[in-house]
Amino acid sequence: MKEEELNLLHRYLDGVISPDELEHLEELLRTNPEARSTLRSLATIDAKWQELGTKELIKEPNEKRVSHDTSPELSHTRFSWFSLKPLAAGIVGGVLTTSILWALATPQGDAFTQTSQEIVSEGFEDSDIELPIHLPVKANQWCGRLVSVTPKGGTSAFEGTRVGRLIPKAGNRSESLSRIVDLHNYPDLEPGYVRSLKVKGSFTAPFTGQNPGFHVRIVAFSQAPEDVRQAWRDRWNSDALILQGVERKHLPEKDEQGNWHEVSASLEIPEGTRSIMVTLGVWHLDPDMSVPDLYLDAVQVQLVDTYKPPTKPN
Amino acid sequence: MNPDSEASDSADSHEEFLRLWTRHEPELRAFVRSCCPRAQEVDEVMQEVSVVAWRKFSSLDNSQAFGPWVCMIARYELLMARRRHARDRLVLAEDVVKLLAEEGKEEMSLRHRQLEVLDDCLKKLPPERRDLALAAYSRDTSIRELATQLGRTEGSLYQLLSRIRMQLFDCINRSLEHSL
Repeated sequence: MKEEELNLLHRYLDGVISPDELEHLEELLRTNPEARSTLRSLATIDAKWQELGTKELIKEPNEKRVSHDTSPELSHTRFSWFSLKPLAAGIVGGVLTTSILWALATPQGDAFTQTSQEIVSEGFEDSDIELPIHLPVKANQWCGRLVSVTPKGGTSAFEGTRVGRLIPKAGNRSESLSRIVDLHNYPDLEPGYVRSLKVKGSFTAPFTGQNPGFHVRIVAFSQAPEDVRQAWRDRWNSDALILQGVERKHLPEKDEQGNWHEVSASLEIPEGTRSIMVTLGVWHLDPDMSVPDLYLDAVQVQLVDTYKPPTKPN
Repeated sequence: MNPDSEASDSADSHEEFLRLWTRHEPELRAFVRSCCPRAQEVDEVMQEVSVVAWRKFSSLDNSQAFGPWVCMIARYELLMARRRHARDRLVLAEDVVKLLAEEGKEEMSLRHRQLEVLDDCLKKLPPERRDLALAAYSRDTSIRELATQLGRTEGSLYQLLSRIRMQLFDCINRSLEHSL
């Protein structure tokens, strides 16, 4: 292959190819089997680098982002963290069963003490609730296509008498409810503590024979709440807009349809965080299917501060 | 079938799926990478593939066929991802993605062999080059930040990464030729 053709492959893999170059690359790939083969081989190297980059991250000293691995067969690459560049949330473990779940390791046991503060407890009992449908631009307000209803179809509320009914926009493959937590509204962290945000919600999709999945996502931003929406929208164009995030997806078994499913996620808040966007929603695996209406209830958001005492000298 | 037996079957099924997924994930990831314009999208597609593969795992009769089977799922998810991102990003035309994926599906054993020799090739890299490549692909560092740290322009850093990539590519080809 010519040098300039190889350069096109590199620029494509680096994500910096221009529209004109992309046209040339497409033509090259359509007509040149060697170019296609070389691209796949170079991509193999990239995939390996990506894997090793993740390993190096996990091996960093004083690593805080540890995942509970209850299955030795699961490799280290399968964790649900994403930071800076990727929005590639979710993991294979998170969608399997509750026995193979990956989440933030919250230190437990004698050596640690924790204090938790419930900052949101939402049962959607207010029948007059009216929410902005777009992503939030200020803290402490739910946003999404949700109304408060008395559950129908033989379903009872998870708690209380009413639930939030998330009504997806026609044709959407996913729909969600979001809220921003502004850390400026809470006391600073004491020395020696780490702070986590925990989110829990109960989901059911009672109107469908389909099998939708439910998710809880937590994303940390350095921006103030009013700038979070734009940062989220621009996330693909800039590496520096998202500090860190985690997403937990739950896919019910077929025989569990119509049941309530509790899904939770936790994020150890990285240094420099100002705002945290919390999202709870529904998605469908089949891109040709719209997501069904969703009942959501018993949403809790907690700030958890964990202290690890200094190690005593021997 | 009693509940205990069903629970046991389900656990066995999970274990089998994870075993197969873990074994095939590296070459599957490489397969997906060739059709994704940005490295971070690989995770997104892999996630979808894992979900769909698990959903449909009970329909797979022969675990020996897991590799080609999961490639078919990945091909579909790649096309779906391409459609999702087609409006706002530079993505390859659908016919090109199909072509890459179709041929890639037939090259999974080659991917496996390439990944095996790549470990040795990485060890042969000068340490500073290896560290640079790892830093560039670390999730905690953007190319822009890394370039600033190194006192380079982003363009020169990309060129250096291209040279390292080609160095490894040549090493892989030589190693595979010698192993024949």
